[in-house]
Amino acid sequence: MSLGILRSRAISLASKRFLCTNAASAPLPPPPSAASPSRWNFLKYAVVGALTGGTAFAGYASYAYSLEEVEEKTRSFRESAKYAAGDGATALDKFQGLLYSTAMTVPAKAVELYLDARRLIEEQSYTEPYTDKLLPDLLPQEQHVFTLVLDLNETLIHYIWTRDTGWQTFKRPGVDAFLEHLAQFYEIVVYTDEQNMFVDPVIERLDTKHCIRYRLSRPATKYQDGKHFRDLSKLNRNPGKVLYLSGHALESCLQPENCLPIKAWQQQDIDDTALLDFIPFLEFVARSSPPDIRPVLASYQGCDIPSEFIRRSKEHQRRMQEQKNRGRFWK
Amino acid sequence: MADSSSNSKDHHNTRVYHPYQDLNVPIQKLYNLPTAPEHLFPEEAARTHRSWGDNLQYYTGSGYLAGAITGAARGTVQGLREAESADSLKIRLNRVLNSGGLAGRRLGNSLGVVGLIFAGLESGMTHLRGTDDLVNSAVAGLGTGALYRAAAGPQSAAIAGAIGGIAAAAAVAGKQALKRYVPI
Repeated sequence: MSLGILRSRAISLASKRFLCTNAASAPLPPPPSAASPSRWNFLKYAVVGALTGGTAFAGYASYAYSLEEVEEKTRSFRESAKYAAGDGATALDKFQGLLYSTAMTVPAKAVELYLDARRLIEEQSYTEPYTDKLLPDLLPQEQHVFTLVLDLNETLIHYIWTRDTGWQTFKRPGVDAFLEHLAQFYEIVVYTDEQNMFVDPVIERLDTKHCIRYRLSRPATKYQDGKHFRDLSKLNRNPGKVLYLSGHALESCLQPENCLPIKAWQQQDIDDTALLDFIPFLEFVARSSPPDIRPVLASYQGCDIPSEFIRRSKEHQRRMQEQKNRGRFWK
Repeated sequence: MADSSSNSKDHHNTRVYHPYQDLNVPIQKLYNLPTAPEHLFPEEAARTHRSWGDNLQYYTGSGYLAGAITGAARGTVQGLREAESADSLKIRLNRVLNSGGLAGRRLGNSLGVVGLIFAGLESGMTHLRGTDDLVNSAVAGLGTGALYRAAAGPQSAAIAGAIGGIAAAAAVAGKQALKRYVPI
């Protein structure tokens, strides 16, 4: 930028010198007008180059850095453009500071304009779910019912594209029986970060018995840190009665205390039984109906929930058997 | 109900599973699990060849592209060969670009039309016969050649049809041999 300014000044000086020479000797013929197009050409290319470079840099900054990072990196640069002369500064220092401030004002304003535009775009309502009540109110006679929130990709289905076969969508083993059995105990909601136009045909084909009551897709998610998160607090349900089952549960939900991690499934894993293995635990939860599910899930944290549930059930059976034996011994 | 219907449909493709099997409780419910990946959209799995639209785009596009590249290369070489020593660089470049562009467009259009006719005939044959094999391609090639040269007279059309049929059959046989013997 400063080099461009220096070049512009040199050109103007040359032009002035030429005019003086022309005034000195009147009988000389008028000069050819070759200088003007050359100057305009240079200015045109300089402006186009500056705009292109600025656009490319803005694109890269948008891709590589978040809003806060860009703001932090450019703070010192933007503050240096506002020059305040110190008391002890000499006239030369004041002049240099003024020159630097004037030269840096345009890029500083450009950076601020970019930051304002990006903040305006990124902090729109697109990052939030489209409403604070994603589900309608529960019926009065269903206040005790738990809500089972299911993910879609790598939890109930898995889709893949290959050059030989194109798009293929696979059902996880046992998904039909899983949905049909648990619809007796739960309000089943599918909450995914896919688009509506993908979710609707998949659910229509997957759920032929209408076990799934509601479908929530990408507009219902919360966009944060470049990912689409499920926000279970917006479900209009008692947060102590919400369970979120997903192959990527802990990294795709804003309330990890309500998550049931399940193994992520792909179609080559044909011996997978994880969905059916969850039926005993989920049925037990629905029948015993704890007032708040979050302490129960906290006690299972870090474990494989179905196998841990089976182990605890065996322990419970063994303890009951011991008590029975002890009673018989005393009698 | 679902289990019985799925049972009647594909009982031999499933295995019985009991989620409570580790607990010594009476069997309440047995689930039939598939032994192969189960498609959500069976029509996706049943697809064995390109649709007629895909065929049309594939043959027409690849034909035009191959013709354009080949014709442009040939025209460029011809333009370079015709250059005279007295020509300036600008005139030489202009001749090369003109020759390459003209030959490329001409050959590209010809091969694109051939691809269009072939795709249409092959898809029609597949639809009529209900099967997709070598005979479809050979007959489509024969029809393409005959149709392309129909305006030049019956003898030329017959020769072009024979060449087209042989070329199509050779292409399909070559493709099958390639798939069988070349480890890709």
